[in-house]
Amino acid sequence: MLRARPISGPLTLTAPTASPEQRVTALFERLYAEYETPILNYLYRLLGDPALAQDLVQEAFTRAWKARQALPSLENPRAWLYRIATNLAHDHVRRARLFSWLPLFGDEPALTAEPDEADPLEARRMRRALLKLSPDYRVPLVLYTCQSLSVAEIAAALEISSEAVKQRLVRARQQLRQAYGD
Amino acid sequence: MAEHYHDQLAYYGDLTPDERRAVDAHLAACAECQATWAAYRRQDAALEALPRLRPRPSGRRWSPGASAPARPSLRWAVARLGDALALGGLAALLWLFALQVQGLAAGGAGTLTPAALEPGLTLPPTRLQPPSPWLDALPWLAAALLAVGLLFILTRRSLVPTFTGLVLAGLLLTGFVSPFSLVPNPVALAWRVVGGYSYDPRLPFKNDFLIAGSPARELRPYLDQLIGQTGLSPLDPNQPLARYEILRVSLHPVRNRVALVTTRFIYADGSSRVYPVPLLGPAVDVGGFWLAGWRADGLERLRSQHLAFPEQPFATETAPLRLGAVQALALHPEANRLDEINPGHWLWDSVRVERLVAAPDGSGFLAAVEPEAGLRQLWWVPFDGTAPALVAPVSDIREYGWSPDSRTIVYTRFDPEAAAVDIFHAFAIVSVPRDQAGADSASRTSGATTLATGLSTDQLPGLTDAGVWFFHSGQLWLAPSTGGVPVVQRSEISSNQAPRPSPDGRLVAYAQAGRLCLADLADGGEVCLDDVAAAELTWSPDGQRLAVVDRDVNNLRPVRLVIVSAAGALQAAFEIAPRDVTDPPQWTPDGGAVLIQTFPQDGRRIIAVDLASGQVLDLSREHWDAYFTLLPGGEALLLNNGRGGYWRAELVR
Repeated sequence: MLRARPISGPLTLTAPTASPEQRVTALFERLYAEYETPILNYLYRLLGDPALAQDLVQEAFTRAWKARQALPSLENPRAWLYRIATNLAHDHVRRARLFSWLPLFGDEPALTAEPDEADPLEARRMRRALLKLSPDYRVPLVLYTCQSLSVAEIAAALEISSEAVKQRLVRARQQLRQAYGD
Repeated sequence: MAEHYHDQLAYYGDLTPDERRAVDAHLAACAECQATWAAYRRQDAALEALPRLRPRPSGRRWSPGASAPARPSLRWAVARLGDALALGGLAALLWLFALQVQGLAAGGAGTLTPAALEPGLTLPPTRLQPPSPWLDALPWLAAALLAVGLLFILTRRSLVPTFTGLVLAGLLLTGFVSPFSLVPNPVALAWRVVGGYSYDPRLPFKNDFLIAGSPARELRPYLDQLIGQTGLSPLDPNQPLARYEILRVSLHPVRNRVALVTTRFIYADGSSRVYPVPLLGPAVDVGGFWLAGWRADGLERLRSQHLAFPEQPFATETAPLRLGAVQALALHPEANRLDEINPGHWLWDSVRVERLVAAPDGSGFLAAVEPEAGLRQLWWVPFDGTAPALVAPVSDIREYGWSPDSRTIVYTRFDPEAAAVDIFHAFAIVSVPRDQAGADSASRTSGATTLATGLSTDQLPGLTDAGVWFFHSGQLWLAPSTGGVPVVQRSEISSNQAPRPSPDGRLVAYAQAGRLCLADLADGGEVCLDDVAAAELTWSPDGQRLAVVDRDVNNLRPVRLVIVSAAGALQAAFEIAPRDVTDPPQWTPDGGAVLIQTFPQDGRRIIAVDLASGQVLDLSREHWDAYFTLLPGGEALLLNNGRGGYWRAELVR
């Protein structure tokens, strides 16, 4: 369970002769290349809907691009990106809950899309179990297990304390154990 | 083995070396912890094994925009050049054909706009612009010509197979590809005879129904179940559905995987209304051709019976609070069409008319409309039968409400400029004088005032006679209703939600870190209730009590309505929903009851709490999945369920 974690320290500027805007753009493009796929899969895990995840990941980077001037001063741009993606997912879920017309007596939790029939049975079972967790537990668990963020990085991304992250991981594990039937 | 390490195993990878040594030593000797450890490892393996996505190779992807537009690949450029050459070569031929077919169309079939279904109405602006069918048809025409040409070459210029291929290509084009299908063709004739309804021949691929099966066939069993039922649109609250007629089947002009079955509902008294039922794409789709059936569809909302929860039955005739007679409001026809003309109407999960907010003087209501995903407009709909007016032009409207004197509309919106500075403080508060609603766009822009921006919440700000209240930079601000710049009312006070000032402006209630706080602006005092996780707050009309929706952010316990005195004393608590979000509570003018819109299991419920008897009642009925707002005076509710039409239901007490 010990895994190598990607380096997520401050981004360094590699072309001192470039203008500040060019350097920020270069930094951002590097972030995009490195984290588009991880954040796409993070959103997919969270929301269970591939098409929605594809849309939201682009929206997340569009939002991050608008706020790119903050990039050079960030200690942990990875956590910053995950924070934006998480907020976007929360925002989407809140709006979907308030305003969408979903079936009243469906047995799917509110966050699910239709199951992908191509999923292996086991993966589908895990995905259903994962989607049964409350978002407050699902988010740190996915960040920790699937996205390999450290507790400190999750704390930074969610703006909560490291102790709170640990507590949520413990509860998430326990709930997942029940939901997964393990 | 006094102590176990279950918790530490949950984040084993983040333990310090010392902690890890201790856990490892314990693990070696503790069977219980070994079982937990094995279970967590299985979780990790299963989570790792979940399918992974790869980014789209093309389509909507982020690029640095104007500063560095995404560069198309050489392969893409060559392909587009090839397309351009092919299309250029066919243009002259197509143009000649177009001239002929347009002549047919001018005197032929009607168009599929709601106006054509109910003539005489002027529709509000819509962005639904079908693309040119000619552009859609070009690749298919090119493919047909190419196939015939290849046949001619490969058969060494033999005329019989070439002619056969030409006839076949012509049949396919006229059968399946608009606008060639405007020409009378065997496939269309078959549908008219067998289907018993017409389709819009201007839309491409209409005859895919022949392959996929008719969407109308999927629809009929559900409509049959509605016969004899009452409810809200498209059912009638008073008259049971007697029968229905399927009038027309057509495809979405942009998303051709969505079909619309336009149906007339006929009620017991002979009245009727037209309602288009959207159905989403077919189950099996190979290369754009549909091979079988219709999967998840727009019938979900028709299919939902909206039954009472076992623990929360509908209000009966003997209940202290219930809804009496229901009647359709005689609004301007355009008001009833606000949610009938946009593309969202085609998709069952899309947003149309949302929550209604009645003006305090009873002159009308506000409604947000989402003509397309992410684009929201705010409309002012008067009760006097005049046309609805656009309050806010194209914008990302969030929450909206009224000043107590009904003269000003206040709303929150996403502010891209604020988001560029700080993405976590991206919302703005805007006020618009009501008499500016519906004015031309220039004066409407000048009439709208941005009171504040850079806010962390899109919740509606506090609205009193004194003005608009909001939190910003750890301070409580008041933008005076008399105009002028906002003024700080109190420092070192903040919340991630909006403040709720009492009607007299003496007290401010707000949520802070999952608890409810009441601050006295006069003497600086503050009292907080730790066991009330305040999600929505509303003061009683007399300002003596506060109705609070107490909702655990983790949704782990039922949602409660809590009544708190102005002094901060908890007076009563009622369970109102199993879980999930709610709208703000609405007090009846006499303060005797509180009504709340809840969204349990993603349906809409009209929950009423009778404070005298302590009863919690669901005022809904079967087939009533509706938004509501209490009308001023408290004698009736305004209802809308997103299928067109607004209803007034008398509140009987």
